[in-house]
Formats: sequence, C-alpha cells, structure tokens
Amino acid sequence: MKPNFTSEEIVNSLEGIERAQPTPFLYTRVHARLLKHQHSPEINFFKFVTRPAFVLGMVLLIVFMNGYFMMNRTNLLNTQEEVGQSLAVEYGQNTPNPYDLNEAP
Amino acid sequence: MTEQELIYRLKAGDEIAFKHLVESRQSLVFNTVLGFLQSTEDAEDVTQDIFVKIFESIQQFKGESALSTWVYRVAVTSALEFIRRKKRKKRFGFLSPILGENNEPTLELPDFNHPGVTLDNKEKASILFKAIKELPENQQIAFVLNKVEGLSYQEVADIMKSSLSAVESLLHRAKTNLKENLKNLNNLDH
Repeated sequence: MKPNFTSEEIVNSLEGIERAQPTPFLYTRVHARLLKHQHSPEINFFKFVTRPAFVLGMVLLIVFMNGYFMMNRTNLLNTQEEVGQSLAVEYGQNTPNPYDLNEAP
Repeated sequence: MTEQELIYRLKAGDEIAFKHLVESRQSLVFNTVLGFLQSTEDAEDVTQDIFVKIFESIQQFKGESALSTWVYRVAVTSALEFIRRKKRKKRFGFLSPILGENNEPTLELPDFNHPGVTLDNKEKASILFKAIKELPENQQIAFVLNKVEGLSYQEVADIMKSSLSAVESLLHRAKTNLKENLKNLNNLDH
C-alpha cells in the first residue's frame, strides 16, 4: 500500500530526532587504524618524498646534472667526431665515394 | 581539560588527549557522517578515518574557530569525498568485470532508517533521506547540519564559512527543492 503523506509532513519528520551513536570501543579501532596508517610503507614513502629537504635536494641534483652536461657538451661532440673518423678509416670510408658521378675523372 | 589545553596536548601528540577527543566528539562525527552517507557501516568506517585524519593534521588547526567547528568541517568534507568516490566507482563499475577487481553483483542498498528517528516518523524520514541525497551539496550540508545534527543557523554558518543570511537562504531553497522532489518522486499532495 502506498503511504499517503504530504510533503510538508515528510520534510518535518526529523523533528525530535536523537543523535545516533557509534558502536562501543570506537577509540580502540581508531587507535589500531592510526598505528596501521603510521606503519604503512606507502604512507611512509609519500611522507619521505614530500619532505622539503628531499624536494630541495632533488631540484639541486637536477640543476647540477643539467649544468654538468651543458659544460661537457663540447667535449662530448669532439669525441663523437673523432670516433666517427676513426670508424671511417677502419672501414675504408674516408676515401672519396667511387659512385659519386659529380666527381671529376 | 580545557579546549586550549586539549589542542596544545593534541599538537604535542599526546595519546590521552587524543582518546579524550575521540570519546567526546565521536557522536558528533558519527551522527553528521551518518546524515550524509545513510549507511551505518560506511559511517563507522569514515568516522574512524576522520579521527586518524584529525590526529595527523591537527598542526594545521590555527585556532581561528572552535575545535568542534573544525572537527565538523573535517567530518563534512570527508563524508562528501566518500560519496564522490563511491559515485565514481559506480560510474566506472562496468570496468570491474574486465579488470577482475570485483565480480560480485552490486546491490542497491535498502531504505535508510536513522536510529534516532521516532517510531511514528520512521517511514516518512526514510522517504526524506532518499530525497536529501538529490539536493545540491551546499543545501545538503546546511540541511543535514541543521535538521539531523540539530545545529543553530549561526553554527552552520561558522562551519560552512558563510553568512547567516546565506545559510537561511540555503535552508529555504533546500526545503523548497525537497518538497518539489517529493512531489515528483512519490506523486504526493494529489
């Protein structure tokens, strides 16, 4: 059977409502959850990586590495050129290309 | 223990102070969360999470409001976050059989019966709680805090960080929307 209530009656149905209580020994369960939370490896990892000292250290490391590679870029390019040339000599590729049609006979 | 002393000891990580906080504010948190979640099991679970959150973030409490006001804010935010997470899970529920996370069929929860409602109002309150879920978030907060938790307009305004007139307006709109929803849902007032 469909109940026959007015909307006004329904909206006012919470008058005189009493507070609901949680089940007993809530603190024991909260304490257990807190301990579990504090010893969770994910939480500890997250706490470690979000420490300001760690974040600052990582930023400095990236800046230092960036600077180091920028400084050594020229040396690296020269070395690469030398390696290329020595490979060309080893495989006989340093002579003019015999199939190059533009070359004078 | 005075409130200032309690805050000071909580910030120092005192477990006795934390136990005092849980025991003195557990019904406040549980009842508020229950008003939003409408499930005793979920409310118990979220209540425990809220106290863990409070213990871990008490350093962020600046003392600009009363401790209970701050606890209410944490409770409301956590309850709404839980609802959003649940809705998201439901939305992407079709993926769970593919991903193999949970193959159990999802069951719709039965009508919610608040344990504090008087016997003659049980049926009406059950219909009302269903309609509360359809309200916009702000109206839902104002209505639950005022009608379920029994807070004054000023207390609701403090928790919501808004003015008294804004809360009055929210509650007025909430009641109008509820009546409208109830008419549409149940064909009442024919």
